[in-house]
Amino acid sequence: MESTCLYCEGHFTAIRSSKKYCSDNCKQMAYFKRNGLVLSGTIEVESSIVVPEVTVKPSITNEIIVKYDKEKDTVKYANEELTVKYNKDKKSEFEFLPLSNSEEEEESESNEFKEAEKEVQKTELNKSRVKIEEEKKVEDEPRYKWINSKLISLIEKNYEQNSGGIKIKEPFEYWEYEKAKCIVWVNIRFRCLAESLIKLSNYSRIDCHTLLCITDAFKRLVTSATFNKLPSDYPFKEFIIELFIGLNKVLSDKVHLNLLAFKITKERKAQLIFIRHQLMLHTPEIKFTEIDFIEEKVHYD
Amino acid sequence: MKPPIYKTKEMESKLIIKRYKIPEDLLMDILRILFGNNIKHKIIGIQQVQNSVLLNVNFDLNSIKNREAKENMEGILADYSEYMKGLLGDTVLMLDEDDDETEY
Repeated sequence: MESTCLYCEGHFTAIRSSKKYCSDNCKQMAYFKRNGLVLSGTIEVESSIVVPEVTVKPSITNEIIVKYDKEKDTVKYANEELTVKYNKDKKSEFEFLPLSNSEEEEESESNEFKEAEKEVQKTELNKSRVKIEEEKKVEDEPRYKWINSKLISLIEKNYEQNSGGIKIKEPFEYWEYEKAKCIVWVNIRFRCLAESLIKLSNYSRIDCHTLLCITDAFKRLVTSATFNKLPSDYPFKEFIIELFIGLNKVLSDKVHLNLLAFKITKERKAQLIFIRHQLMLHTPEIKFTEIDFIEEKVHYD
Repeated sequence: MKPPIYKTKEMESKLIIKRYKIPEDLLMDILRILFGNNIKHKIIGIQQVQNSVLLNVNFDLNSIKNREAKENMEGILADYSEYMKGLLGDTVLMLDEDDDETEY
């Protein structure tokens, strides 16, 4: 069957009626033509599609220049020049795939694109499945149940209620000068006694005489003139009296023992730790053996 | 017979032993954490005077539960140390494994 080549317009004998090009070369050249490419050295069919030099101006400042040749391509990028040589023996590198007619080609291209899209979708699906599975695994694992210490929770509860915290920090700002001086005097002694009680409660056994000394110190503090001068809104007044009464009771019950287990309830211990923690920042620390609970004159420390 | 469990070097290195001195005030809370999460531990001594227990705890840091339990325990001990600052003397609640404690 006689036919005319769509590229070189030469006559040729075609086996298929749909054959459009006389040779693979013409088919390839037609492909280049469609895509606006021309190999240097080949016969130019249309002058408009000859592109001997392709200049790409990037958005920055450097220029890229690509020169096509039969055996090598030169790429210029800024001041650097790179050459790409073609090795004709290595067919695999520059072998063109046999092209069918343009419609078939477009179809195959679109098919390939569709397949690639499908593959991407598949991988995305798989990824999302894996993610869901991982999330399920995490959900299936029993979550860790955080445990709070009862003592620390009680201390923090005291802080939330903040019974007199600000007043204690700056007594001279909240009370009159004379009253504030009394508060400072009491605070120093109370800090010492509170620390002693906390320390004693941490021991398994304590000497009865030690408890006697502490109770006596509480008695002196509570019966002191300074303590009686304390303002009614002093936050720890009732608590000090309460502690003194409690210690007295313990002592009267166990005075016959040399060693005794001294325990205080968690609520009371938490309150003691909270008060001591507050006093610690603004009240000087004095050891029990060095402090004077007897009060002939009012001490203003 | 149970099949052997192989562990890589990285996994092995995440098995750690920590030593803690637990005061009586916190003992029940700490034991709740250890028993509740099946964490291997060993009581290696008691300090009778100070009413505290010396514990060796094995943590597998590959396990989320173990990591959180460790964080929980150390959080409680750190809070307690803060509130009891100055009252515990030289007592350190979180020790290194090599630290010696002789008074038992």
